[in-house]
Amino acid sequence: MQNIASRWGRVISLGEATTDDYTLVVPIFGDPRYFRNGEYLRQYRGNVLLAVNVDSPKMRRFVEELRTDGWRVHASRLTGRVSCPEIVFDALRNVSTAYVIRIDGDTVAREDPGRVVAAVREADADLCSVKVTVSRRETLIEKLQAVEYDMSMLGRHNRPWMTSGACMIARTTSLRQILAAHSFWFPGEDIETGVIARHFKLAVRHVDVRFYTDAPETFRAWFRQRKMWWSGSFRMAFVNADQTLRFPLTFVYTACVVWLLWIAKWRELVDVRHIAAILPFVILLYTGVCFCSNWSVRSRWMIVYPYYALFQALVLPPAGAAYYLWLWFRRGTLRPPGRYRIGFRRAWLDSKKRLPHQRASAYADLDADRWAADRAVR
Amino acid sequence: MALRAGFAAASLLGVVTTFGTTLWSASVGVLVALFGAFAAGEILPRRRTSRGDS
Repeated sequence: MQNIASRWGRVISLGEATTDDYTLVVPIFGDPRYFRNGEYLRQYRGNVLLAVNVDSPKMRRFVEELRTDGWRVHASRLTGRVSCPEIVFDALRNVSTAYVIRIDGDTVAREDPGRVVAAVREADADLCSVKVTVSRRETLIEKLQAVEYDMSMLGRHNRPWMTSGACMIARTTSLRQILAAHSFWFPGEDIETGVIARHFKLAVRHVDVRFYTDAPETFRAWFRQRKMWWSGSFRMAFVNADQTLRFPLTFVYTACVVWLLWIAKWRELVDVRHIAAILPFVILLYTGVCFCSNWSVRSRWMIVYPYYALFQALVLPPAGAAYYLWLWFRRGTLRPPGRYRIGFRRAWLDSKKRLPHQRASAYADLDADRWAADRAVR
Repeated sequence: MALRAGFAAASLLGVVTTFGTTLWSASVGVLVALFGAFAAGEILPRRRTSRGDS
């Protein structure tokens, strides 16, 4: 339904204008091999800031190599379990442009980022989601993910706050303030950015531009990634239910249809005769709905997609929940991890109207300094 | 009128989701045909390419 409604969603379209007032911030941590879009970024090198977390001799050498090669690098020194928003928040202190594109080390675009940012500026948006799609479509799992990404991105027309970690565009002052209120907890960190922006009543929009990202190539890698994503979903649906309630449709779909009806779905499967009777019709209906509601991104792979979706709906929710509980257990606290830091009552934080640019930056930098000092103590 | 339409839809749904009925067989047939179309469009050309056929 939401994909049918996507054609009436308010999206930002690209115009002819372009700008140079942006920085592409690329968070890289853990291993240098996650930096795969160097060739693409090279053409915009003057606008690129590589935010690298240096927590090993290997990463230190990597930073030196990058600097020798002419890249502008922000070296963070974060310890423990590091997350992308944390590195980006740290790196924002080295950003002087009005707009930031947070982009993963495996994501590229065909459009000029300057045109995208100019469109965002023209629309006066604080945070924008973009269409993220699969770059390589060779293996079975890549092709299925490609269909899945293409379909789910249509939903962003009406729910632009569901920002993707692969790429998002923001006004620098706004992103500073959003990240100053971020929990930095890894699973579901990308959507948390959009939720915080909405909490602060910022202008959250969707730009109609495609960014291409690497998707897991093998089933095993896909399962590992999805386990993480589903733990993020569990976190959003239950651990932060008070916040997700703000988005009633998303809450009902995620908490009830996906999570609570999971038991009912398995109950149906137990009776083989019953399942043999209803499944052909259900799958046929699902395929038809898939084709019709996603006509603009139709693909022959939508014939196989229902089986992939069924597998995902049956197997991954418990895997995600178990992963969340394991992370909680490993943390050894009574308080569940991943609680959003924002309160229930929405706050008003209009970086452009209420706070002058420099003052807003100063506040955010103060927060960043406090946070860095706090981390150093820990 | 609405009630009749509702009953008709319910009975149709009942027939479609009953093992072995004509409509059930038809839905299985459509699924098989869809798979055939998918195989013809996606799997067979790949096999030909990997075998080196043009």
